[in-house]
Amino acid sequence: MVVSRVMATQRSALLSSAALRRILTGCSEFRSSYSTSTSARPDIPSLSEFISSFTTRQVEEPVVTIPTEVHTSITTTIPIAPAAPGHRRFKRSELPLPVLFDSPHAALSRKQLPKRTGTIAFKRGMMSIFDENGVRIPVTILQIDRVEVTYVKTLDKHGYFAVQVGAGARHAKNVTKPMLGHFSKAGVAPKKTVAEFRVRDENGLLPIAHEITAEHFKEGQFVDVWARSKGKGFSGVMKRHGFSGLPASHGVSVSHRSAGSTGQSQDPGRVLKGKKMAGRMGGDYVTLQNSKVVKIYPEYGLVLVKGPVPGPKYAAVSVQDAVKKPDVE
Amino acid sequence: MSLSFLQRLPARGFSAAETCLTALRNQMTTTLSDSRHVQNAGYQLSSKPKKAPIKIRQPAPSLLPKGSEPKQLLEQKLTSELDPTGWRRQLFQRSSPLALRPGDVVRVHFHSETSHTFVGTIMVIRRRGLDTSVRLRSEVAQLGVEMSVKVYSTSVKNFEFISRAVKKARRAKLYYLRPDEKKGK
Repeated sequence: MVVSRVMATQRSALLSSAALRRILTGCSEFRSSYSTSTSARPDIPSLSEFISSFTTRQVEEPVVTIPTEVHTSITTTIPIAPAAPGHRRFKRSELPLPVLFDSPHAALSRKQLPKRTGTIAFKRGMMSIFDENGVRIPVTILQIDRVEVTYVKTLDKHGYFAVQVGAGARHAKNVTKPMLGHFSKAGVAPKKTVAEFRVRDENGLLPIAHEITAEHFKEGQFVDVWARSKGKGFSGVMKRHGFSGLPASHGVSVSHRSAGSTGQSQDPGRVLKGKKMAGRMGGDYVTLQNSKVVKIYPEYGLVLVKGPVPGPKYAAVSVQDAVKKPDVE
Repeated sequence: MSLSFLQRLPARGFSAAETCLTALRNQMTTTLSDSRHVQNAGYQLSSKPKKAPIKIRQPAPSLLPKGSEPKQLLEQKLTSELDPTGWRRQLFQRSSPLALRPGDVVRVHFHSETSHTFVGTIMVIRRRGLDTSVRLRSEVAQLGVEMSVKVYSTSVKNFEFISRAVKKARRAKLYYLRPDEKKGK
C-alpha cells in the first residue's frame, strides 16, 4: 500500500492507515532515515515522515466572495467599500458577515450629511435690507474671501468624504513651514484659516485649488452657520445660566447675584456633578441651523444671511447647506 | 613642507611615503582646526543635500477695494437703489434745507391698498442711514395713535409736508406730547 502524505485540513493530524496500524499494533518498525531507496518498502513510513504527519498543518484558505451589497436590520442596502488597507479603524473582516448596526460603515450610511461642501466666510457686521413687500430683514454680512480647496478626504484613505478649504490670505513670513508646504502642494497661496466640510459622497468632492465664490450659494436657500461664540470671560451664574439671583433688599447680605443653595443636606451630602456654577462662558462652537440666505453680491463676494451669526466681527464662520432642508444643486 | 617640520618628526623607521602622508595629515589637521568655519577636523565633510525651497504662491487681490468696509459699500449701493431721486435724503438729513423737524405735521402715503395714508406730528426722527425711522403722533377718533415709519422701506410711497411747527421745538424727541397718565388717576 502506498503511504500518502496527508494534508491536515482542520488543524488535526490525520494519520495514514499504515501508520495507524503501526501504532495500534505497537510496531516500532520504521524505515531507516538514512536509506535513500524509498521504492524498497514504500508502505513503511520513515520516522521523520511519521512525526511530520503530526506536525504539518497546512490549512487551506477558504475561498470567500465579499458581496457588494448586504442587507441588514436597517431597511436600506449599504454598499460596502473594500477593506481599506491604510485605515485600521475601518478595516472589516473578510468573512461574509452582515454589517453590524454598531459599526463605522453602518454609522456612515446613517449619517445625515449635506451633498455639497461648505465655505469659510468672515463675519463683517450686520445691517438691514428691505424686501419687495417693504418688510425689513436684519441681515449679517458674510464675506467669502479667496476661498480655495486645499485638500480632499476620501473613504478609502480617511474613512469619510470631506473637502478641506482655506480662506483669506496671510503673509508667508507668518505661516509655519509645514503649513506653507501644505498650501504649496495644493497650489494655493497661504491662507488665514483652514476648515473641513463633510460631504455625503464622492459627488460632493471638489478638485484641489478650486475656488469657491459667493455664487456657491443661492438666494433663498437655507444654510447652517457655525462659529466660535464671543467669549464672555469668567461670568457669574446669573449671566451664564439665567439664575434669578436674590432680592435686592429685605436683609439679603452680599449675595444678590449668587446661586443660593447648591444642594440638599446629608443625602447626598455633596454637590452633584454638573451643578450649574459660575465659570468661563462663551468661546465655544455654536451652530445656527436653517438660516436663510437673503441676498448675494458676487462682485464683492458677500452673502447676506438673515438674522444673527455667532462670533465677533471679522471672525471666521463656517457656512454649509442646511442638513434639515432639501438638497441644493 | 619645510625642512624644520621634517626634522621634528620622530626618529623612527618610517618610509618616505608614510612620512609624507603623516605630515600631510598633520598639516590638514592644523589647517582645519585653525579654520574658523569648521568645527570637526581630520576628515572631509560631506555636504548635505539641500531641500528644495517651498514654492510660495502670491494671493489674489481681495474683491473688496482696499480699505473699504462691506457695510459701507452695501449701504451706499442700497441707498442709491431705494432712493434714486434722493427725496428721502432731502427730507431727513439734518443739513438739508428741506429737512423735516420734530413738531412738523406730515402725511405718509403707502403703497398698501388697506392703509393708504397716515397724518401726524413728527415726534421723533431716528437717523440711522438706511434704518432711518420717523415716529408720528395723531389723534384718531379721540384716541392717541403713534406710528413708526421706516423711511427707506419699499412700502412707503411719499411724505407730504403739511405744516411747519408753530413754535420751534426745543427738544429733538417730543415724548412730552404723550398725555401724562398719572394726572387722570
